[in-house]
Amino acid sequence: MKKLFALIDCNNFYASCERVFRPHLEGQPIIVLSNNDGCVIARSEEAKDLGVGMGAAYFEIEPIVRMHGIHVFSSNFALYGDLSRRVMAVIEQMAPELEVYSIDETFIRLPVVDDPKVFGHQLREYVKKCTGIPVSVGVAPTKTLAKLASSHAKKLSGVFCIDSSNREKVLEQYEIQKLWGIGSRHTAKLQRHGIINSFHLSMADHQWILRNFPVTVLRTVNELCGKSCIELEMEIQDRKSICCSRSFKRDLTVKHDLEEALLTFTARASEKLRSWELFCGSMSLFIQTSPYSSRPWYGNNVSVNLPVATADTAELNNYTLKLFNRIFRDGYFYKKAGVVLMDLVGSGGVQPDFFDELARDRRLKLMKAMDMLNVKLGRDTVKMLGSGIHRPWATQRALLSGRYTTCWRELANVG
Amino acid sequence: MTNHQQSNELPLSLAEVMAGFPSPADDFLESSLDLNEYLVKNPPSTFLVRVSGDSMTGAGIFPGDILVVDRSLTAGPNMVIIAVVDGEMTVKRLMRGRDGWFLQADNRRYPPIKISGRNELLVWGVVVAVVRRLERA
Repeated sequence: MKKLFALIDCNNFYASCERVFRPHLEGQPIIVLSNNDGCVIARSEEAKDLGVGMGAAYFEIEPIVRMHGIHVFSSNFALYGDLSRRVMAVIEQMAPELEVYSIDETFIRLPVVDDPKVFGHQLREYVKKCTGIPVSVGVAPTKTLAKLASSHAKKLSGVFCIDSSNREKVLEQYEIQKLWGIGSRHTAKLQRHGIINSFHLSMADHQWILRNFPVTVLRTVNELCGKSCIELEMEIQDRKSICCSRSFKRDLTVKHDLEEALLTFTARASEKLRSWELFCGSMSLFIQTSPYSSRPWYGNNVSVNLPVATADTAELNNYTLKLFNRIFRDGYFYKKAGVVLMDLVGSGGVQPDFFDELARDRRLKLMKAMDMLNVKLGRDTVKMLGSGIHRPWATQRALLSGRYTTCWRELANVG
Repeated sequence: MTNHQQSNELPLSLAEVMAGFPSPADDFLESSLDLNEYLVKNPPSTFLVRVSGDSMTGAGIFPGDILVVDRSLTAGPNMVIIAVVDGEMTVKRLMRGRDGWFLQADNRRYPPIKISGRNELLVWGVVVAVVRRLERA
């Protein structure tokens, strides 16, 4: 039997998450705002129907929100992350071979079943029952076609299969710019050669494609024809860098506030580094003012190669302070800042330095003890003093729902 | 539930092997008892909620208690469930009477809720355990 893939995509994921513990929102229009409540990053079907655009600035759509009583939420990534993990785990129970593609999408290899469509519906119902999250399922012989099928599934009954009987017709109706793996750059060039829809692309001459495009485009052509060229990626890819950055709700002008923010970002990034059992060989730091403001612009970044790869927050904090002093200029209104840890290596890749004076093993133990306490007792229970207590720069999330699944104090109430 | 894997796995062997002989108990060490394992059969579909009302005191469920709710289970007669009534989550016992299903409070002060037509039954999950710490109040 021929192998099949499916792409499972959560419908309006963040908006659906908000409904799980607030069932009265079923059928109501919902939007979720970006960090700092700036713009719309998710919309329920009802909100889409009312004409709320993706990415719309909140202040612009406020009149529509008020007129139609749209429910507005700040983004609650503690909740979305946990529900995402649950959705993927539930899917894995029915389809053990899976590749988590993003927070709300996963590819699976379809297990051997009599009827893929029936399996798709069973999977959909099981995920909805276990997690409350509605999903769409697109089934096809290749990943590219499965992705395409899932966008059809969303419009239809939630499950859509592409096979030899309907493939050509479906491809004819699908513009190439929406295809997985075809960027806008290739789209323009393909269109100039009369390749408008996905069926045209599937019929393109292989030699001509190879002469004019990178080999990835040929792979897409083959995949559109039902020849699987892209396997499931079940292993975690090599992690190259960790970035922790924020846009501030209101501009920061005081040096100390910006310093605090950067130290917090350093702590977050190094916490993540330790959770992956990695060390970083270099770090960089950036600060910038808003490019949209009428005030004078300033932005700068600076990086440093560390003498010994490290995952030690205290040590990295020292570099953060030094680097920050090099690029901070007084008198500007800073909008964004961030810390990037790079050259990540496992413990086997750490080159010891003859002149190194730090008791690295003991300090790493201390850091891990700190991480453990923060996992058990809640984020920031134990932290470095420099990262601040008041945090005037912290994200504004005025309309935040409860962290129903990750915080004891915020469990949902039942009467 | 979230930190299940990180926070509850205790080391299987605590004896540090520095020098000399390993502890003779090492061969007999088993993993510690884990309450998660006892209370949670299907982690990804299991959620915790907190009780706010007194409608289920007869079933030993009191305000402030934490309920362990498994959404993967199918509700049946006499089971304690989380139902959605008028858009609100409520804990009740699911019962089958002569003329159909109803939700019963285990507390005489609350009348049963009939499930019919307009009042369609929406099961949020099946309650599998009650967790209460005694130090409270």
